Amino acid sequence: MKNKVLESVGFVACYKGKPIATTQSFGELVNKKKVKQLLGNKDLLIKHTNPNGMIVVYKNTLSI
Amino acid sequence: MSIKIPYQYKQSPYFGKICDIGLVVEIWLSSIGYQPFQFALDSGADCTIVPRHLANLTGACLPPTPDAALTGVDGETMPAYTGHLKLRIGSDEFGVRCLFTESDKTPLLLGRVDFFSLFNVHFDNRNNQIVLERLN
Repeated sequence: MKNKVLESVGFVACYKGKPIATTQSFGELVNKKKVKQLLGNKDLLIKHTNPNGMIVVYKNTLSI
Repeated sequence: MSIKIPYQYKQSPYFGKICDIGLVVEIWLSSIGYQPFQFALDSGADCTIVPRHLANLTGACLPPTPDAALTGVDGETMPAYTGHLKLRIGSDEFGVRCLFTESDKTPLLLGRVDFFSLFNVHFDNRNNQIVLERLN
């Protein structure tokens, strides 16, 4: 699981600090059974993830 | 009262250690309650931006077609929907207007609209932390 998190751009759900699911899209992640069941739990953290070493620039965030 | 959030770090093959401004913010989800998400605190983003699917979880009613668009510095646009999120950091509850993007791959970005009116944001590089101070 650890390698999977580092190799893909997408979203990761961590429970008590450990990754439990990764997907490329947000909807896919929150629809995973184990993530869905934990929604509302303070030990569940959902975040965007990037491969190690990737330079990230958010380009679509200007001039609405 | 201020909230201090330590920087996170990542390693770049080009630049070495880079600080990663990740901020854990709880979002109010309908029929679930508050759920922690990690946002990128993006002072370069005009407003808070989240993927559209999050609107289903918050119970937001989006218009049938996108009513906004994001335009990047390269001129590319992305359809989006205007909306609102109820957020909490620590015990501080507040609301921000946001854009739900059509894309479900958009990272969660905490931008300036509303957030910068509610909080003083201090990048404390001496102590490697973000310090948030509630303004009102």
